[in-house]
Amino acid sequence: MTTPLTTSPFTDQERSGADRLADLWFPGTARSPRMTELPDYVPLLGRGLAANDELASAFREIAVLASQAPEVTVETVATWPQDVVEGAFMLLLCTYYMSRDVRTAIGYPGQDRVPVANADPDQLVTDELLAPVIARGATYVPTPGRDR
Amino acid sequence: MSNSASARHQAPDDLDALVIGAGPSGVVAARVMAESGYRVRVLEQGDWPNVADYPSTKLERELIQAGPWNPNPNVRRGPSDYPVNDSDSDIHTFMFNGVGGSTVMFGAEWPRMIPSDFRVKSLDGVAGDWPLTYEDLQPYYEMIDEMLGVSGLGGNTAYPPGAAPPQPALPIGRIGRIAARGMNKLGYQWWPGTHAILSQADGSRPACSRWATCVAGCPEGAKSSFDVSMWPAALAAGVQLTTGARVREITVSQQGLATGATWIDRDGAEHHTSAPLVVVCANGVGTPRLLQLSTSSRFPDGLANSSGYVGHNLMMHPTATVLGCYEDDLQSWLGPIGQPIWSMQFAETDTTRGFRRGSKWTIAGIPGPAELIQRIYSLPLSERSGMTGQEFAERFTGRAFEWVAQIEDLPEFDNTVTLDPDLVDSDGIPAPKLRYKMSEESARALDWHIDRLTEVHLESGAVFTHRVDYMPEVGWHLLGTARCGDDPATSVVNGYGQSHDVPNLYIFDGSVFATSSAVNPTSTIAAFALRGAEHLVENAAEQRIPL
Ligand SMILES: Cc1cc2nc3c(=O)[nH]c(=O)nc-3n(C[C@H](O)[C@H](O)[C@H](O)COP(=O)(O)OP(=O)(O)OC[C@H]3O[C@@H](n4cnc5c(N)ncnc54)[C@H](O)[C@@H]3O)c2cc1C
Repeated sequence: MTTPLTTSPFTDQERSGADRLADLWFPGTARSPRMTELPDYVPLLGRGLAANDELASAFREIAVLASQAPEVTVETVATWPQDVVEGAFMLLLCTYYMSRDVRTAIGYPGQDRVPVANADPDQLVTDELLAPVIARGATYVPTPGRDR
Repeated sequence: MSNSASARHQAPDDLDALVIGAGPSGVVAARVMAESGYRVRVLEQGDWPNVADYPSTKLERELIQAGPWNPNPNVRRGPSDYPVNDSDSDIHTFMFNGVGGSTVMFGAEWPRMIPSDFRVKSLDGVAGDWPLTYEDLQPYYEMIDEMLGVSGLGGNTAYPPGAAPPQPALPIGRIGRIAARGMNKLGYQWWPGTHAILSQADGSRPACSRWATCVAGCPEGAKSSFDVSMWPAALAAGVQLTTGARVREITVSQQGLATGATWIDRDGAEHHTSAPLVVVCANGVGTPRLLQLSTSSRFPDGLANSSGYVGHNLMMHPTATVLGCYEDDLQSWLGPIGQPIWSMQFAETDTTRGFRRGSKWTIAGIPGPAELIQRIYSLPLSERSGMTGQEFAERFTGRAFEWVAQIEDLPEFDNTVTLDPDLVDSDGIPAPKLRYKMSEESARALDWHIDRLTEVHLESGAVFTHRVDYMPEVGWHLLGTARCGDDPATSVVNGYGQSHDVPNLYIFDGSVFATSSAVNPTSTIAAFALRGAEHLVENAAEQRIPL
């Protein structure tokens, strides 16, 4: 299910539509790379498509529409079936942030093992922080007929 | 359904008890009975979960979670699952069908109900009182905490005094500290989270490594998913577990006692297991479904249903969140994902707010940029995509977290689980149909809490907030459909989970909840099961069983 693909997982038509969607939705910024320029763009997309059949078929449907449109803009996409567009966007969104280059650019290390025993002091509760809560006392309503 | 008269002619299975469902309630009951010398067999429609299948550590985690590992069985559609017709329900059910039950996917937030939750009728004049009190359950809460290795900090001001959790609390993270400062400014109660997650290694199970992917399956085994935290002890005590066994019907004798269950294996073959006691632990949807499937001339409206309450009063905890984005680096991809800090400030009734009962608040981190963008789903696509979306992720990844309000849902008789006339599972067994409408009062409560949560974020320094008014996709707490009570005319089981109608039939899962509380239910489900099973064993001499 998660084997990276080295060959294109698309028909030529789907690929050209995919590129246009990637350029529209992930055009790159001063910090983040453009999706179609990622060195692992095609294998990542293959991996994304293999992970979720339903979103993959939504993506393929929208990619075909994108390949056929004279131009792919926000306005063009707004005329396509919105449920399917959202599925296609979800697939591309998750796939884009799978890229190591993108994660590095935005300073996101990815989910990983960070043992609790290594927690920094600024991740821990302190007596000082809790003191006002304790000072205010109990908040619960006791069971009727029983003492607090 | 036939009442399997033939069951009486089958050879007995040499068991003392049959348990249906291998989730928390099922395994707790089975373990207690087996440790007391009972010969127990558990039938579970699912399989043992396999850590290698968990999306948690995979790059495409979010995509797998949106499909083959989705908590909604209608999306996941695995061989262990049954479909749920939720077309007439404001909230869709979440569950995992397999050994460990839904805890395989749960967030392991481990709060207890508060004393007033057991006395809603007496205090607020609505719903019903439970036939037991907080004080009755407290020793069982504490025993379960010990068995699992629950982590937390003692002395929570929202609760009566008692034993501290056996393990130290998990780190509250930078998100916990910034949220706590906002709460302190407003003078609100909060506390470091109590979790069914190890903060220190215990036997073969390691401590939490803060993946924040708890709901995608804990890759470490630190989370007390009941397959890893309770099943090994149950098996060691001699419990027999049969997986891939989907129960179709609980069979009864002519005297109206349960005799066992008819079930279907993965090859479609039908079996019957006889036992003098039957314990149903199939959750708030699976249990009423099974009772309704088990009709007979004696129980034409479903087993244990002389009250007409089976399948009614479904409660599901409407939930809303407010995303807050900050300028500080909060490392908000660090776990635990649920309740690093939480609050019961607004859990009790104050009718000046315009609704009764209250809500539990928790904070939750955002594991990554894709999940961050998904949190602003209600904005137009043009604001979530293109350079705008990318710049949002650049600016706020690791700098955002949610405040979550989980509303106490009062029981409404017309919120139901019934059998769908058309939809069936892969074995041809009728599927459950939900009818669930969120009440006006719950809707008012959600609005009120969302406004307050936004204020807390702003007080903590958030530079951007975004509210998600209510989420249809979070029916993870399935409660109330076989409620407990003292009066057989208005309840299905007593305070020990014993059916009023069928004295050798017990129910221990979340269907027994008379009211829903605002807190996550599993510590109460497990404590109720422990207390009920202990009572059952201690009163064996009085137990009526089929001859
Ligand atoms: C995504 C998610 C997050 C959650 N987070 C939290 C949390 O943080 N804190 C909390 O307290 N709770 C949480 N919950 C809820 C928690 O998991 C449940 O309350 C708990 O698992 C219920 O236990 P149970 O034994 O009643 O039922 P379940 O865990 O649902 O187990 C029932 C078992 O019965 C089996 N079964 C059903 N019908 C049949 C049949 N006909 N034949 C054979 N077997 C059958 C099912 O396959 C299942 O394995 C969460 C749930 C989900 C899905």
